[in-house]
Amino acid sequence: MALPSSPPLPPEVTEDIDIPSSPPLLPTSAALPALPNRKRPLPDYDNNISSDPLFSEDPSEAEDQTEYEQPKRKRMVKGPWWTLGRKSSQQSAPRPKEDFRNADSGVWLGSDESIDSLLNNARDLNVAERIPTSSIAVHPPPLSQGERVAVSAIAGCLEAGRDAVDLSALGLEQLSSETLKPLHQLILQSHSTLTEPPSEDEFVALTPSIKLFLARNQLRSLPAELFRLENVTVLSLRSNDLTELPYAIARLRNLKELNIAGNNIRWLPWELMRFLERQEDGRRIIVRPNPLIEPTRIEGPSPLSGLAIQTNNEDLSRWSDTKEYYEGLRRSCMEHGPLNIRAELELRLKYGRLLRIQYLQEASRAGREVSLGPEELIYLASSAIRWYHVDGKPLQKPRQDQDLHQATLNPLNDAPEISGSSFAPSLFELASRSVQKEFDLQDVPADIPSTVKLALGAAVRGLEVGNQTCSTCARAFITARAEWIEYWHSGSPSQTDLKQEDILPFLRKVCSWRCAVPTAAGEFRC
Amino acid sequence: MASTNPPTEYITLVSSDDYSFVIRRSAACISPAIKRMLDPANGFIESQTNTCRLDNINGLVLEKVCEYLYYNEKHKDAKDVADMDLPMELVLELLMAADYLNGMFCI
Repeated sequence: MALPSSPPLPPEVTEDIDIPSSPPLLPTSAALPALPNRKRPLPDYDNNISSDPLFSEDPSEAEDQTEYEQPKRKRMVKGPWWTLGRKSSQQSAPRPKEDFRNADSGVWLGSDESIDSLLNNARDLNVAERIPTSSIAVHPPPLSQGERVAVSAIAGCLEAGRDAVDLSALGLEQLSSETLKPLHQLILQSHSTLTEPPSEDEFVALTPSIKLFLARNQLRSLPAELFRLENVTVLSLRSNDLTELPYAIARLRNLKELNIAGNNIRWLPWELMRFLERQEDGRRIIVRPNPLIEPTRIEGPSPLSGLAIQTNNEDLSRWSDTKEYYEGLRRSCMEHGPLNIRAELELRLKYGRLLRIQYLQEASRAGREVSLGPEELIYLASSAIRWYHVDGKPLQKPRQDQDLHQATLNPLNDAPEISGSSFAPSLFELASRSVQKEFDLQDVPADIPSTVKLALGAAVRGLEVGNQTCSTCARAFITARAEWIEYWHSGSPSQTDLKQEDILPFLRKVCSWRCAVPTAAGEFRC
Repeated sequence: MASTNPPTEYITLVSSDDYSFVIRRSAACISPAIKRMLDPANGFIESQTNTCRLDNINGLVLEKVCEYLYYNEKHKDAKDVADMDLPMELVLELLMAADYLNGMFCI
């Protein structure tokens, strides 16, 4: 009895039967101070008391609850909405404490406000911390002198509704996507002289046909934005330092004129084939001069010139005959010695031409309309195919003594076990494509293998301009499995001899080993 | 687990968390790494037990990998194959797994 505070516990444990007196204690001591620790002693009650005390006194409990909930609701409303979620989750610990103070005496009431204001301050601080991180403006690197001129030139065109954008000879070393972006908004000027009624031909669409001149700069690469400008019809990249024409050039569907003369381009993307195929609607491409790779040296008189070869079109009425004829030609040439690449190229050119003539004859007989371009496109030869692993590593190390790009008669020479491979995309490819779709590729984990990093790098580039499509099956891919050069003859049909400057090299890439099938001899495009 | 001289039709892949997947040998050998493990000429223990432990691939991912292996085998000669659906939350891990299963250039 000397100690008033300690006894309550022992009696509870020892005198189990007398306990009914204790339940009332709970609600009455509902005086909130007890609330926080109401939960913790719960296990103690377990031994005998069922839960009925809690349910027995409904009114007081309801009262209890309202009292309990009100401050909660009030607090929920406080503060800006974006801290709500955080507050309720993070500050659940301090809450009972505050309750405790509120319900206590007035002593704490004064300081309550101050705590609130403190909290507010903290929140403000939080906000101040958070806003900059989420919306930090990444300052672009300062523009070069030339690019600033370009920006103002583009702004001028936009203003005046001019669709000829002249950015030539500005000394541009690079061009950012941002600079070109305003060109999306370019529309032509509509009827402006209000003194006269508009003439008939003014009722046309205001869609511009942008003519973009980037000639005589030092561009090494082209911005991705350029390939999103669908209205570009004339693109001049003459006299720059480009080493490769990106495959994305195919995305400029309305392109009519392309000038890439005077760069360091060694081959054209296969995608440009489509551009060359349809020359009938006035499409023009100026490729040379460029250090284009060559199938083989072509100089001196043709090796076939010594042989009496005449083509008699009358005899050639069916495709199979042409094939026989071609084989016959080859055999007769072989008699004079082994066939070198150049002779083979010339034979194939003849063969392709024959097939083309036959095709045209047949079409005219059937009454079909064939749109003829001024130039013919005839397949000549391929280089050896370079094979890649799933992750883009080359299968074999290139041999030093071998010219990779030289035309060869059997490009599938070093082929790996193609039969074992599948048309289905590799898991690596599938996964990297999904990653490209779903994730922010800017912050990939740092500890990934270098091959994966390379693939993701390619995926980032693919994201900018669209993934490359397989030149055989037209499926999009990120990592090419094989690539090779194809040489096509592009010249006027009237010219009989094979000339170096009529041969265009195209780089073909495919999505699977099974797709790596070079064009067959005799292929042509009209 | 008796060592069998003629190669069995099915082999077992065991994930890092000890899930095992029994799949056809022909499908498993699409992966160059697994193929090398199982090749008796290389003398790895895997070729004796016909069981590959893949300690850096967990069960969830390995299940998808097995699904892919069958998908690949099934569509070997089919053109215009629809892409297999990969669950978004696994793609990064699958990418790593794919890299691992294709890699290992050391013979």
